Amino acid sequence: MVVDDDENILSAFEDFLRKENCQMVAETHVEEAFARFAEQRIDLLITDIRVRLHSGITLLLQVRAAYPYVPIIVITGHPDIITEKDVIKYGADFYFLKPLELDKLRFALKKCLRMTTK
Amino acid sequence: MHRSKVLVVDDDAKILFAFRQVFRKAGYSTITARDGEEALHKISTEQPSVVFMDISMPKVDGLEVLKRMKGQHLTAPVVIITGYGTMQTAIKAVQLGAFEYLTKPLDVRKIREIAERTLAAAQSTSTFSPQRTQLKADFVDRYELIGNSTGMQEVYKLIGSVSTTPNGTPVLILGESGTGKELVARTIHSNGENAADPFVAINCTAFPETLLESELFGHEHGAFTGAGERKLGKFEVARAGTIFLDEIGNLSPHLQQKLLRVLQERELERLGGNDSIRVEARFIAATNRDAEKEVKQGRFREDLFYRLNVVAIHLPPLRDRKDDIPLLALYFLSKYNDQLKKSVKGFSGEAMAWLRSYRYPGNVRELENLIERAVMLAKGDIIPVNVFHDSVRTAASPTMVFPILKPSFSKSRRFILRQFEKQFVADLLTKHHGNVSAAARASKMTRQNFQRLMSKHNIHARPFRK
Repeated sequence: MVVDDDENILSAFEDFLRKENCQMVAETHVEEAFARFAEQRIDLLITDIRVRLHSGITLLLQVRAAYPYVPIIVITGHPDIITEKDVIKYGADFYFLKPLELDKLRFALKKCLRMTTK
Repeated sequence: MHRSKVLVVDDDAKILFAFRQVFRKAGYSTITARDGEEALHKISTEQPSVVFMDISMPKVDGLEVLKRMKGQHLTAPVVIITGYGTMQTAIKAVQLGAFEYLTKPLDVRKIREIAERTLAAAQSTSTFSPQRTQLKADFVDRYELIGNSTGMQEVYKLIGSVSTTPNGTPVLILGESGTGKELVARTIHSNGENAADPFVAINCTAFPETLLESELFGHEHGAFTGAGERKLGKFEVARAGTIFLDEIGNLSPHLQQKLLRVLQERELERLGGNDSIRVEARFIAATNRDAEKEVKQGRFREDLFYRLNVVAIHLPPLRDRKDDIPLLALYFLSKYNDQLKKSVKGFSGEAMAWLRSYRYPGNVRELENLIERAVMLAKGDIIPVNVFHDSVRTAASPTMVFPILKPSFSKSRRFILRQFEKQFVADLLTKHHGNVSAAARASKMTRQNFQRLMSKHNIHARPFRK
């Protein structure tokens, strides 16, 4: 599941994930994302820190509390709002700044999905 | 594929039996333990895929087992079973790394669902367990949040997670007035690493702007007319503790900008001073307004909102968690029995039904006020329903009652004055359909003073707008 309010980012992820043989569920609202999370079998969450006026960190905490083993990648264009250390401490597995580097992302994706399928 | 092994830990043989039945049907193999010691032994020798464990057991209880598991690096996912989904258990369980918790009475479907989910998670990998800091949480009873509803359980979980992080992460608490936003803030503080440092709360509507500025930032000697000695601001007073900014939605544009700078730089200067002072406290802000609307309409800075809203906690209004009402009612009953030296035993069936059906525009605080008054006026053992009818009606009726309730003159006066202020404000707002400016004009008060009176009694204009 990818949560972002930026359509460009979502479609970039869609292309990227298709090439990596992954199915993507796109969400543009944090609250709906958490509700949908329960319905779908999600193997990986990728969320921006800011989704419209809502906080992706709240989503991170909620998903981490309910699904301790689902890997989470947090992305942001505002690195000064929260430190990487805190994002990791909140239970994220990777933290990337925008603009995203595809190589790093591919590495993280592989690592995350290995965790869920092993 | 081998069958999943489930360990059930409970000192009650009936519960163990019930779990066995459920899991046999679901195709899991069940092992059991009767106490914490045995549980720890079986977790290390049998390596179950999931553990269901009662929290209250003689000698070594469930939380202690969780703690020792951490110490011994045992990683099975644990589902805690608890009689009451109290805040403290929930927070502690999450902090100690419990996977989930179940509240009694147990629901077979829920057990099965959680077992499936936990097993699915556990099968994915076992090296990937969430790292959570273990914390000591000595809790002051009077700050207890109360409620077992799912809405509140979500709140407890968020408090549990956020309190384990250092002060850098601000929290925004959203909820109608009277839902307990300050309690949530205090709970985050008292469960955090810096609980020994001060918790400083400031209500942004309680001061006029200039005074608020010097309250927050402090001032140097002679910084402005009337500024006597140097004064420390609340940010400084809070040290590495928590600064709680209530009703942040009312902050003036000037103070919004100053606050933004403090959040960005984590530094401030006292009024009339040049030295930069480091700000170490955690920021917790709260608002009962529709924060998003305020941002969209340009009354609240978007960049400041982003900074404050790193973790958002939504507190549900009381009408959305009606199942918590009996518990809250009994809690307040015993609180005011103690305070007022009364011994009221309970509520009549009708009274409880009324309490459950009322809509509580003022939320938990209104429920508390209703019960305080009911206990005060109670003549017998049981609170009858008509006390509540009267309470709700007095808000609109012009006659005042002056019961002599407290022996102390000053206490009685304060009580009656409070009643008077509340009623005065409510009456005017009713008359002016919630138009604060009109109500203030009619009372020959400034709008600001009128609003201060409203927030003192937690009265909001919205319910009066019809």
